[in-house]
Amino acid sequence: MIKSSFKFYWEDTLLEMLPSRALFLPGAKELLICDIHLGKAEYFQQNGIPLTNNTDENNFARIEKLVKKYNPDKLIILGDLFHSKYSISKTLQKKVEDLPELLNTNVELVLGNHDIGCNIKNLKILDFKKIKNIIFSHEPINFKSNKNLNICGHYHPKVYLKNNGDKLSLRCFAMDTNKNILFLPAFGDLTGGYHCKKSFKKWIIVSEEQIIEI
Amino acid sequence: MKNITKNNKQNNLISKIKKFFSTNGWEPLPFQIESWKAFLNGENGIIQVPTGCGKTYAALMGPLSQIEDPKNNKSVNILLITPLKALSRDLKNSIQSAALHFNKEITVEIRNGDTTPYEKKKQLAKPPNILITTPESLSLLLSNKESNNLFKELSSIIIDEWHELMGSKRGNQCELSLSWLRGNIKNLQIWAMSATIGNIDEAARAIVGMSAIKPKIISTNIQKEIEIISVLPEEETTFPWSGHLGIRSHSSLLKILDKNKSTLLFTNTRNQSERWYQCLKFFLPEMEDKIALHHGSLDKEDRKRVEEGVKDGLIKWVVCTSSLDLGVDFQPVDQIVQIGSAKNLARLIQRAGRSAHRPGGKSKIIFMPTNSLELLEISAMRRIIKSGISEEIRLPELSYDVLLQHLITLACGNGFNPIIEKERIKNCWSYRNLKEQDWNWCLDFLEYGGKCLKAYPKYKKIVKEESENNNENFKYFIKDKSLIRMHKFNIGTITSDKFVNVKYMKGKSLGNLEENFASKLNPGDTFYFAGKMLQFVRIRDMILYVKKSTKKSSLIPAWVGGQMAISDLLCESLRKEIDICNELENYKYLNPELNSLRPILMKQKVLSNIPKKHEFLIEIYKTKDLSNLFVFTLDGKFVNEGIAFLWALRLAKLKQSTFSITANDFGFSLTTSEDYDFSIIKKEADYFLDNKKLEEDLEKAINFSELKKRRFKNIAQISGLVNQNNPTKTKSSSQLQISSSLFYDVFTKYEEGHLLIKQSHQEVKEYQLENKRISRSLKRLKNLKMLLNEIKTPTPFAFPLLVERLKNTLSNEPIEKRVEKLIKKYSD
Repeated sequence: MIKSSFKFYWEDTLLEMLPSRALFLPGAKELLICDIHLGKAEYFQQNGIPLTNNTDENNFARIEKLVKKYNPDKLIILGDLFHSKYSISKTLQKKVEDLPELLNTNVELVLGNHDIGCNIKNLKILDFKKIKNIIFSHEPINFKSNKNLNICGHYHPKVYLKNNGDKLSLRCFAMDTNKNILFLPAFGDLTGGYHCKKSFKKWIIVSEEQIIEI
Repeated sequence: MKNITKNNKQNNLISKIKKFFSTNGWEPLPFQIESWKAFLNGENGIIQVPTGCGKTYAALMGPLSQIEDPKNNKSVNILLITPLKALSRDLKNSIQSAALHFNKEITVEIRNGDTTPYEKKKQLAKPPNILITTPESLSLLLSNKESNNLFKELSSIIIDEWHELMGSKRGNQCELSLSWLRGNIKNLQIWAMSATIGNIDEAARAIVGMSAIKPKIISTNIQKEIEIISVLPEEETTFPWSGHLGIRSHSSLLKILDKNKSTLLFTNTRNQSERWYQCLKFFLPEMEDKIALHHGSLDKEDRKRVEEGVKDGLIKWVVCTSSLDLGVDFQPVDQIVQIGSAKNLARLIQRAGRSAHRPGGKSKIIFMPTNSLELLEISAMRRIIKSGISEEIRLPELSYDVLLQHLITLACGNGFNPIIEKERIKNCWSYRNLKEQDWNWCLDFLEYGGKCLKAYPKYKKIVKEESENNNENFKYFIKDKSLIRMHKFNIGTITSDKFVNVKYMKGKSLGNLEENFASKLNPGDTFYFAGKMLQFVRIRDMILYVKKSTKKSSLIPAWVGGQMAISDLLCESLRKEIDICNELENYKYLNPELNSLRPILMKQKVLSNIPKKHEFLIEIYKTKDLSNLFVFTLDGKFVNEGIAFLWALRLAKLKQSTFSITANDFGFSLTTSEDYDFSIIKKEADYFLDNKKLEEDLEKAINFSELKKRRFKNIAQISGLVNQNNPTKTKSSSQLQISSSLFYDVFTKYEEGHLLIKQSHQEVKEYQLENKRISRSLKRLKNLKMLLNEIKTPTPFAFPLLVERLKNTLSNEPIEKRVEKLIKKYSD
């Protein structure tokens, strides 16, 4: 069934999966996004591949819209804010530094593999984060306890649907129920992804307003 | 006076060539002498004769006889372009033995993907007299600054199997490379060799360029005798088996085949080849070591081993795909088997030609149908061969992706001046209609990334470099070494889906699999690949690790692509064939195929109709919960698909419903789960066959952007947006991975009028939906009398469509079981 969001509880923490590629924690008023890959177009341009960088503007606009709607106390970016330390222009650097002020909220960055070496001001930098029995990280963390939930980015989960003649590949939230890992969809417009395993539970993002559970 | 000496010289050379022939005990054929004379006269052109008639000697002896001082050459003298690497070795041997006759010092070398860097370097330092290469390797040479020197004194270019290159973008790539060579080298003579095709003038023009004087066309009336033997079903049946079920009648095939003869078994898909290999090995355990598998996804080393095994006589039978289509250098091959429809006559003849490589030799092919209606195709082909008509091969036009790749190639090498290069390119047949504004767009794209400069602040690729004394006289170059390296690794127009490498845990590579298939596997799953039963262990860094397994599995990877429709000529002939079938009861015997089809055709006639020349058959079949419409246009799979989508839309406009669509070369079916009244088609025939709003309706009927996206994938690879191969597997290269569909979305959203998006639109319309063919088909159908029959049980014509539909729906039962059930019901 298509919905405008999906809510579920991990112990007593409420989590809400949004079709705008974000996860909202209404209790703590925290908004989570990941894998934005800012500056990706310019990285391609430097390497002789013509990709317009209008997409970054759209990424910022979507972040703004989200924050306006949910008014969180904290925006947490689960890694890969940037695409490469070699493709951060001055304008981009400034835009990111001004982000907390523009959004009027705290911004925390859990470092991702692509963020390594990037010079980032005005954001609180973390390696990982733990709230009660939920661990937030960029790459999945393997831990034994089945009481903990790991929420992470990095994989850019997608789902591949196919029938007679038609096929679709869509972003999704994916849950590895054996290991208790919830993978968030990549937020950035210029990101591809990996088709995730059959055994994963999935919530497919159909459009910016629609999400469906399968 | 001058003319006389020229004539004398010519006569001398010709008698020299003739002497070479007589020492070998051969008699030159008239077309060979004609070719030598035309060449020595300074003409350009094309030699059109069937495979295996001696066209190599026709094209080569002229240029060969002119090499005067082979040892002191400053550059390559003769350049030979062949479509397949496998052809090179063969050509080299035959040229070498001929060259020996003229001058012992003439050197012949090969340059292609298998040539070692050391040899390549040596060739640049001391060029051979004759260089044999592929279109891709030639392009690669043009990206080298040394190319000017290497071809400085080139006197002639010969293109082998031009018809084979012409049908694809490889033909465009070849044309563009030729345009550069023509522009840089004076008095260059260009000749091509081709199989017999219907549009030979066009083929010749593409070789010599638009501005050249009329090219010479040399043809012969040698009719190569070709014998087609169809494997006929053993029992008389009244239902047509379909798809890979054809494998059931392997025993009839095995009865005909000689175990001691070298044999190629051609299949249409890699999946099919794996199945047949598995089947043959199972039923002929004593042949275990003598049967091999050869397709494009197997490891290069393994393929080489197979080729050598056949040459040494250790391997007798090879199950293969078109990977072994052209000159296989392990001849002679004694038996050729075609499994499933060859889809067009040219391919069937080409493959048959492998069995007799001497002029005048008879070629023979054994046809193994995978669906008994394919026997009709063979019967139709026999008639075409008899009539002597040949198919046309279309060269793609205005492929901007190939053009962009070519310009980058030149910028990597000796640079290019846009004014000079534009003239050269517009001289190519397929770019003769290149518009000024589109040319400028291409330059902008390469220099600035696109038209909107603001969107590409960091872009760099080609840069202007002015010559010292003249500002006008600038050239474009690529300066960045890593860009050059990346480009060189990705030259070519043959693109593919993303692949993962399949390896044993111990490290030996088995070949490549499509990522899509790999992503669906779970650890422990077994599947059949490279002729082996394998168990999936894990996937890491684009490598799929496997180990040998003894578990049984019916899972065989399917590779995308390779879908083809039968040719126009064959469609037409097939329609005639069906018309003849109407009169079948009046003939005692026509040919083995029709004879074997007699019971099936009779059943078709009893249950419904066999459409006559002036008729067009539609069948409606209702079951408890499904309404089926079967329409037999006999117009090839793609046209059928197009009309099916069109009719589904037009039906839905009258009465809302959704349909599932199935199409094959014969016709198409629409199926819906409601009780739908399809007879409306007869009442509203004009509406359904209307040609006026065709384009508009088609775009609405089909998920057009999805089709365009799929086309764009290939365009993005050729034009260098997406790189298939990375010279280094470093992190930085992995950060440059982005899917073509993302490019498509971004370009469509932010850049209006993007030429590469426009090209994908054009390609969908011309090659996939084949607008022109659909329109022509509707026009034709309009003039026919529509027969609409309500049938109680599916007819033989409808049956393959029905089976196809089952294959595409979901069920836990294996397809074989379901078909068996269907057959039971059907025969009752």
